[in-house]
Amino acid sequence: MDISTQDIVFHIFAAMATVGSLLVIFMPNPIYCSFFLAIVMSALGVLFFVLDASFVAAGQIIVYAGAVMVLFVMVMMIFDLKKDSEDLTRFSPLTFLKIIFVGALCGVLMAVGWLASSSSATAPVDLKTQNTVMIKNPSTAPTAATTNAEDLKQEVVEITQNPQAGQDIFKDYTDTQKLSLKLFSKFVFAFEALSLLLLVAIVGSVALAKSRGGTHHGNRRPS
Amino acid sequence: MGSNLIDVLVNTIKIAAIFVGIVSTVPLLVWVERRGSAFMQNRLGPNRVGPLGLLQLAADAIKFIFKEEFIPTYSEKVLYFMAPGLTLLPAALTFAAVPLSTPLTIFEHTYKMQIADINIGLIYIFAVASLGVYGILAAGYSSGNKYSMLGALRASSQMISYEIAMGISVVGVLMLYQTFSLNQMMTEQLGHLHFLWLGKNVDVTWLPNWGIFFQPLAFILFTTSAFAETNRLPFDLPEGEAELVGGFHTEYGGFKFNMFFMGEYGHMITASAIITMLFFGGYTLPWISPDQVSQFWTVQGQSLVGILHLPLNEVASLLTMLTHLVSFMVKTGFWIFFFIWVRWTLPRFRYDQLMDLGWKTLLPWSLVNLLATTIIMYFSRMS
Repeated sequence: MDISTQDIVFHIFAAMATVGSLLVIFMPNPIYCSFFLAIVMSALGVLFFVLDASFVAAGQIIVYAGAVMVLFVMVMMIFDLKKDSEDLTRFSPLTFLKIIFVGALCGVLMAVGWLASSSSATAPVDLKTQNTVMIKNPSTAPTAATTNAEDLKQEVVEITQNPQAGQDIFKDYTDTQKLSLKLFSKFVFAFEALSLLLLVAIVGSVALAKSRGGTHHGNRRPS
Repeated sequence: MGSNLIDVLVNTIKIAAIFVGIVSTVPLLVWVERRGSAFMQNRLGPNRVGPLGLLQLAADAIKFIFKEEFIPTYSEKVLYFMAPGLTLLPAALTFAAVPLSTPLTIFEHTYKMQIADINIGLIYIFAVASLGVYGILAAGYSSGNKYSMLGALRASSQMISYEIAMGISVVGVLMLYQTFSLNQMMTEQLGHLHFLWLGKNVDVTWLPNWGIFFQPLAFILFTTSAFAETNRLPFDLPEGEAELVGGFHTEYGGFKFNMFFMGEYGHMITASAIITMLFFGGYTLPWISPDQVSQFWTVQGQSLVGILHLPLNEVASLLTMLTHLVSFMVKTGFWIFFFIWVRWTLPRFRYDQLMDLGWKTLLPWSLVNLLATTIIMYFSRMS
């Protein structure tokens, strides 16, 4: 059996992610849950790294483990969670119902996954035809990695105007360049729509923070 | 890791050497900090133990190791023990991507003076450094102490706030170099100051081609955020001793406290290294490229090689590596000293001032810097 370094790293971190995500559910103390969720996020980041998607890996760690989960942990720390964790672990008839429903949901998800994998096994998808980008003439592919903005622009124009082009064109780029080429050519609408969505969320949260009433009514600091 | 046993061995040695290097620099920095602060405040500082008080380091280290270990009754034991490690680990890991010097070539084998040459080096450092806050949060939560908790909350909110300004201020620099790789950034900074302006080449021979001359605002913003990220004065509110006893490490003593200390200094070393790499040419010498240094040593090394019967190329490679290593250490050392200098010069901020500075000053200015860089780069490319 041939085991590469990547396999070893993958199995270690896949196991870490699996065990961590189980502990997220089973730990009674929410602080520990969120710490384990941070471990899961970091482990996923490493898995992306193993897949040679280093920019996505770093983004995963910066955004999820480094920012989102830190906020989660911070908020958890402020609340007194003793009662909640006791509620969670105490046995009651309702607990049975919860377990049954969660089990049913997991069953449905697994069934869907199983059906999807078995159907795809019978009718394999031709990845070549699915690719929107494919080069007609391989000689136009760049032979060396070009970081020049003009060249990149030319590439984008070529790719967007050419409905059939392969992944060969990206062969010599770093993964960050590949990602940004895709992001700002093929998925540019989704990208802009997402940024608009985030802007709406930011405006919404600022509006919520500014509104009177709720827990802060009456004790606002004079500014 | 590596493809064969020798690679694995070399990498293990590199990891061990760099980790030990960072950890053993910390006592030295403590000595510099204490003597330096004494000098700035017209005092003497520790000068009794050994020459210039240098053995004070050893005395401190021994004291830390042999102190009685205690665990607060109401602490969360597991997290309490993990927290110092969680602080020290990211600080040490960030250094894995830092190129310390030119590659060393010995008998056809090239050894990089860097643990991992990642093509997203800078982003890797940011990613790992952003995990440093977990150690502080864990310490604050697990100590079962209100002061620790408040310190941890302050630390985490401060680090998140300044991370944003820090990240955006770096984007302008990244656009300038058009790469994430730290090695490529250094090759971009070689030679004298030269750039393209409205399609014409502009040369300024009396200045090196360093990033600070292209991105002065980004440098100021980045350095300010770095102070906040490393929890150093004037932003050391998480451990403001006048308000919070010791902040998140109130309940820690002995070697566990020492690990927090090493983590803080480790972050400081990494921040200094990043400032050096982004704005001051990294390990390269000003005006002189590594190739020129290599040629110089090849010529100079001939006399040495003749006497001792050593292979010329290997000696030249080694001397080039050492020259650049010294260059890197001098530059980084200056910025570490700058951290210490500022600590003993500026008073501490108030908490609301800190948040105002982060969100209302640094963040808008870093966005302005980004916009200005974009516009200038667009016009400089025009002919």
